[in-house]
Amino acid sequence: MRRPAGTGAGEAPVPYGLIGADFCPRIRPTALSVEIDGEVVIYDEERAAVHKLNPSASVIFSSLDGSTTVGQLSAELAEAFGLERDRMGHDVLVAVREFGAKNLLAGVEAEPDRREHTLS
Amino acid sequence: MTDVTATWGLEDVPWVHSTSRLRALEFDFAVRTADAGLGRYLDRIFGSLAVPGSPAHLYSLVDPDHAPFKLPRLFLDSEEIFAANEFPWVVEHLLWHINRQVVERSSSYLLLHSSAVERDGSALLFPASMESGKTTLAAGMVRAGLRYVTDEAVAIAPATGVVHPFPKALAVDPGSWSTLADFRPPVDAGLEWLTASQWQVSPAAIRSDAVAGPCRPVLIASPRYVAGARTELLPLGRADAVVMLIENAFNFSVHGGRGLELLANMARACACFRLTIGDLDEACLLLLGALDSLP
Repeated sequence: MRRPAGTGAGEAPVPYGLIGADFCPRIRPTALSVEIDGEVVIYDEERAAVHKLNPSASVIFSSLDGSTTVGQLSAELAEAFGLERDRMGHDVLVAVREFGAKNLLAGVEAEPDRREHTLS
Repeated sequence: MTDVTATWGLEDVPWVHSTSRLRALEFDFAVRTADAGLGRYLDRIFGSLAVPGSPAHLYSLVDPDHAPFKLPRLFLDSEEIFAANEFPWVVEHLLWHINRQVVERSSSYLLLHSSAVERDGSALLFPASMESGKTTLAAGMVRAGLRYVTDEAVAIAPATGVVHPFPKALAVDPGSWSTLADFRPPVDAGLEWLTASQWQVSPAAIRSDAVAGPCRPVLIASPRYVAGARTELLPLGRADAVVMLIENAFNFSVHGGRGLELLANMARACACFRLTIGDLDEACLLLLGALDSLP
């Protein structure tokens, strides 16, 4: 059986754009989150950045348990919401790549932090 | 050539006035000066921070007449922290330094860049970036009968969610002087320069009972002054409110996950708005209406 990518300790980080259906997304411990009125707010302790997810992305983010692959999650959400599996697969993949780009996933090479940091 | 500063010391200054011990959140200090008129002014603007006892730290304002090379200076305890050609700059720096010390030394609180007022134990918070009208809005609400919490830093106790007042003098910029003309602070003759670039308005000078006690947030409105704009109070989603609060926190990283829960619980418990201010009186009426309509 093939081990899901991106879950093993010591593995090279996966560039966020290469995340595929067999990737097993796990939320970084530095990505603190809270759900409020169906929307997730995330504070990235490492980059001191804050993100708010829309309701759809919030459902996907809240479903990441560190042991379910993107493909499995797509199937589960498609069934739960009565939606077409291919469409859901695309949406989940786009969302997970976006989480990876924003430095929210362990084992993923995020986009560089381009914000200007100044000393005060 | 003799180095004057090598032999000069703070004990050489004929101090004539020291404020009471002042406590601003976790910062405990007093300020001394060799100018009696300036001393009276400091007593007025810091009066709402006065507490009994001896201060932990002492600022010394050294005016040109008593400074080496006539270069005015500011000391905190024995350390020189600022010198400038003009004494007004030194006094300005003192006020800035105090605010900074309060924020740096009060990290047990989650601190928001926000003004706030209070009525019957309920706090209205006005978080926003600089130059958004926070101070003017707080002043308008105090004039409308509410009590003053702060115009700079809202301090929230993480364990309880209670807001603890930091009732410094309201720092009113020239752009609001005509709107708040009745708040113009008195100064002694010869010391008019103290109000030349900014008014420091003691809350006690507005009303004797103008300073709030600890209170619980019930309303959050992020203000933005826009000249000539229609004054509007628009609902803000609670998740957006949490983002806005984090972006306006001085020390969010210190509190991490607990701070996130604290702000989320605060947003859940509050009515949340964005406030566009074109007219101060209208903005105050809208906020009072929103406050009155809370369950």
